[in-house]
Amino acid sequence: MSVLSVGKQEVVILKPDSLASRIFAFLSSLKLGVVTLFVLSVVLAGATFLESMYGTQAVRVLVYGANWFYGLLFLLVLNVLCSALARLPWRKKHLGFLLTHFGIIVLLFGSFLTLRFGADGSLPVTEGSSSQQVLLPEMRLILVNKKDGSMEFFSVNARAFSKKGRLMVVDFSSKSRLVVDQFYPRAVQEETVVESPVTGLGVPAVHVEVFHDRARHIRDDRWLLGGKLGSRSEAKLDDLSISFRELQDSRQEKLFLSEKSEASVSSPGSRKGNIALEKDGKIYQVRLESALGKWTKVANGRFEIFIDKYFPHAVVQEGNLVSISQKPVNPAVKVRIRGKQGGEESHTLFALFPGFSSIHPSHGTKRGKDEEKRLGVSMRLLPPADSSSVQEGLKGPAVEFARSSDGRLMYRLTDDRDNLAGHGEVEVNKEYDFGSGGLHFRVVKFLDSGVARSVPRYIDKIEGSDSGLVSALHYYLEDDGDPNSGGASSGTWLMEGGRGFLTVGDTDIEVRYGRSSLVLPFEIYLEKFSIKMDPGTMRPASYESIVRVLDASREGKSRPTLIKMNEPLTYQRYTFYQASYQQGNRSPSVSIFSVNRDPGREVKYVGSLIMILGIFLTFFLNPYYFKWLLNGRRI
Amino acid sequence: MKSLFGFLFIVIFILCQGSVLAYEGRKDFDWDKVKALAIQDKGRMKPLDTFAFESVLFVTGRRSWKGKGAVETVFGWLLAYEEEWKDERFIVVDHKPLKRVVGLDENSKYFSPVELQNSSGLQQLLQVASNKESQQQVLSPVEKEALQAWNRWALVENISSGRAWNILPDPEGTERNWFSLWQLTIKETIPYPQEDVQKLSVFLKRALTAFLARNAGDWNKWAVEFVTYVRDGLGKGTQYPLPSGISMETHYNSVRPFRTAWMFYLLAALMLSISVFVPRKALSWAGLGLLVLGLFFNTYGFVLRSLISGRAPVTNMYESVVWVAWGSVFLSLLIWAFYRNQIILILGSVFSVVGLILADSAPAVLDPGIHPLTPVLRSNFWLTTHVLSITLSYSAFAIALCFGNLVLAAYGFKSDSLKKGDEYLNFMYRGVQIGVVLLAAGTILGGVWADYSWGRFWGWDPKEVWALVTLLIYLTILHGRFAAWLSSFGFAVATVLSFLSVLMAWYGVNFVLGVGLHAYGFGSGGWSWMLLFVFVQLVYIAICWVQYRRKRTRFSDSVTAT
Repeated sequence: MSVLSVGKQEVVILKPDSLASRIFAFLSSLKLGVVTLFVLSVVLAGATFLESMYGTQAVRVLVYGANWFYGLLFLLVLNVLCSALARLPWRKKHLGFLLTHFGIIVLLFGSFLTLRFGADGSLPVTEGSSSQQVLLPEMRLILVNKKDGSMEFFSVNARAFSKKGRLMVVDFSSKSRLVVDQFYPRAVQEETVVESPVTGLGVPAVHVEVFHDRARHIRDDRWLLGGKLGSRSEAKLDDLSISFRELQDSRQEKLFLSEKSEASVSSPGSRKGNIALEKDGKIYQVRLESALGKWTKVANGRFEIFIDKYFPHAVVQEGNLVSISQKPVNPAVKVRIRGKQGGEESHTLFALFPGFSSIHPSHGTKRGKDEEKRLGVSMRLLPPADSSSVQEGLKGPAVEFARSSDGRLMYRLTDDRDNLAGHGEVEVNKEYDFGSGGLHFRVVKFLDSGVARSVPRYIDKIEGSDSGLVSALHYYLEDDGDPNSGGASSGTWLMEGGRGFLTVGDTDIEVRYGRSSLVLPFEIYLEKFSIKMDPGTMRPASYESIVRVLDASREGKSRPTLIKMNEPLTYQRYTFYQASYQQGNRSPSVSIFSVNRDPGREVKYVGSLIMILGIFLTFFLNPYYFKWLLNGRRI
Repeated sequence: MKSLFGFLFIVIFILCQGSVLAYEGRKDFDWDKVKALAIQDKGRMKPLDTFAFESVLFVTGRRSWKGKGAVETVFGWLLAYEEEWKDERFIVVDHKPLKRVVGLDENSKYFSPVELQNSSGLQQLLQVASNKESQQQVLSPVEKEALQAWNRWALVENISSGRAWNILPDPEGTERNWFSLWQLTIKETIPYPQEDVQKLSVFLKRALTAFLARNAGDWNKWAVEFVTYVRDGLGKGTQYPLPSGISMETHYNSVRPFRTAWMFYLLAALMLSISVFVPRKALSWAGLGLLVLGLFFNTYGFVLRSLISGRAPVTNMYESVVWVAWGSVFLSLLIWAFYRNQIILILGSVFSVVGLILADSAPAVLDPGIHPLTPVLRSNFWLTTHVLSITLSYSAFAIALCFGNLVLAAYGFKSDSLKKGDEYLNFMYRGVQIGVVLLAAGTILGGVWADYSWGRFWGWDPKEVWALVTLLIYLTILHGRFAAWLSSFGFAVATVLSFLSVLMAWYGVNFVLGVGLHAYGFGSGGWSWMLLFVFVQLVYIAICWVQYRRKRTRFSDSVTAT
């Protein structure tokens, strides 16, 4: 038995048993339909699992946007169409079936229109400004000739997985070309430190990792960079403070490994604390009270220091430093220092954030002109030892690292109460125990000369969602005339939105990597973006943007329009939806609209309606009720 | 002297007993008056009743604690924390690995606030977990559980300190943040006249004394006085939630219409089942009557919930389970109207009972709370219609599943029931048909909604894709049947298996895949139960299939023999 025999006699267009008729029979067969439907459902089900592993972008490349997938859909359309044609001439009983199949064809045709002629992108607009550049999902590389300002565009193929090889080649001349040799579809930016390629350019660097006995697989790590001699870099991992500095001589090394810690040097009796001043490896201390409002000699008179103001509980309000209470919660001072030979600097020091210490050009200093005249001191605000509220912030075990003058890495471990718990030379990769609390640390790497680099880290399997991950590519300049050029070591990583520079011959070229864009024939101006919260919570209830359409082709001023979730704005066939936002503390808000132009919309709606009607007729009015409906006869 | 010591001993003994007796509940205390007090919690105004129920459920995992109602329990945390609750083991920590890691007693399910606070292991883990959370790193299951345990503790802390009691409306409008009882103690933060603050404090203090002294008369006087003062005195002039809105919710809480509904459904199913074996007209009609009564309560619950929340109740897993239960009874009544076969009603109501009991008894997985929606869901017609339509299709597929299983048994086991099997197969087919129409319509309506809200008709979002996959799978088996690739038995097997795709679309996308734009419906839990169901279903199919094959060989043997 075969369903194909239905109405076969009436099909007169094709000769029986010809190749065309056999192809038609195959394409219109119900069995092909069953197989296609089944394959499609298995493919789609698999795609959702792929998406949960590799993210939305990857599955778009692998399945939803792939040519074979379009082929499968096209096969479905052919099957649906041919099976309808095979039933020619149509009778009343075919109505439901025909409507269903016709509806599906119209629906998929509408989708094709959307795919081919529609646009879908995002438009970020900053509060108080306007934009007309819609960012599209496709990525591209732009080469800007800095000499004449000309630009060349190259589209970058989306990929699902990391790929190496000569992925893209752009010829500049017969001898030199730009080669893209690596691509990450999803990556996070990571700051890392690598061995400096040029000696003398780098600084000592140490990579420290901290973990807990209870959860050994969870590791927190950080790079600490040495820098200007005498300065320290610090970080907080867990409740552990780590720091790194360079020591200049054996005297300092002795001090470093001794029982007494630097922090406990601050003399008692000072209620506000001391200012420690470091110059050429020597530490000098000044009581805060003694220098408040008057020039005070330090370091055997080589410097004078003047404290403008003391802030026991410092906060930044409207760009100014103020103290909001008398409790020493976050002590800070504004201090000026001048040298014997002249030169004056103004610093703000925070007891809790020594790394934060900033230099402000003060009126007396002519900076830039004579850099050598800078005093070369580093200062720290040491809070009083007995002030418990401040100690809260400093509590917790600490490990200090130091590079000795002969290039060895030393460590010094102190516990909660600042007692020495261990010290010595660091063995790289060895796990050190803090004695209590289950904390361990390990030095992963120690570089004598390292430079900080920001590189993308490839994320293969995602955790949860791929939003926030961006793509990245690596390129280099290949020059046949120059044997040193080429290879991965000379290249540059560009992450989405990044730019790099090349010199080809005597021309400077800027390389930009980012989303391709669509320029609207009008501009969208964002007046205000706001988030409304549910009463009594910080949970957003609604996102709202007030915008104006700025259209040069139209006379008069446009009226402000409200766009919010589920209430889009449509203008000239473009529809703007409230999609997302960015809100910083000090910067103005950015509202992100999803922009969409869909010429297939109506077609899809009509197709859907027809299809639903068809299914309904097929199931419920056929065969019993349908006859009755058309012939007025009861069953 | 001796007798004095003896007397003191007895007094101390009685005092100690007091704290033990405390767990038997407070007799004659009138909780009904205070439970209608409005409170601002998790973004909406609700009666204290609801707040108490949700809080006690979250902290203890139960609806009440040792015979004390939820309202009494939260008042206990507020008024008698030091005396009665501090050392009571009532905070549920039921994750063995967590307890092992932080060194809590693994055999205990409940812990006291003091125990949790003093567990240094837990505190350390929390530090790590909250650090990671603030850096938006992915937490391990143990860390998540640790934070959850801590959230439970923190809720008790906030209730006992008065911070969570946001019951004093802002005179400038109820949409603003309300003031808590805790703020009442810092008088300058509340813009009420001094005398109001004074009065409230006095009422509260007297209520506290009465609560501790177990003086029901005083409590009923002062607590009610306090509530009335908040509502009529402070609430005046502000848009204080209307008493009718609040009383509707307390009514909903006390009636528990969905529980009533499943009880009626269960009775109806029993009655109808009996009448299959003992055919009596009266029994059948009584069963039908009970079923309609159950449907009435189910509907009534829906209407109440819609009125309380101001939207159609189909926005989370709990609500969709309840709606599917309603739908399976409704659709079985509809099919029954055409075919007049009681089996349809029995299966529809049995499925509904299972669904409603699940919704009623697993509040940790299916959260029964009414919460404000995320912005994108606060919309419109299309949202409601597409979800209603799709979930109603699940009801139809569920009926098809039940009949599919019946068909398998009929073909497989009963020697003379091939005819019965064919009849059931027809009902199953009807279920699939209704399901396909509703699912196709719902999927398209979902597209319309997506077009309206996100600006694209179809975006290959996992939830969308799974709705489509389900539709395609049912279409595949319908066409496969039409192409005669599937026998009657095979069609039943395929229909039963296809329901697994419904489970995936309904439950799996939210709970297993955990990606995509429909993230507002995501949750966790219940996974092992789902696997158990799938396993049992597969084993059942296998058994029926073996039986069916054996019967067919026997049949063909006998045919060849003759």
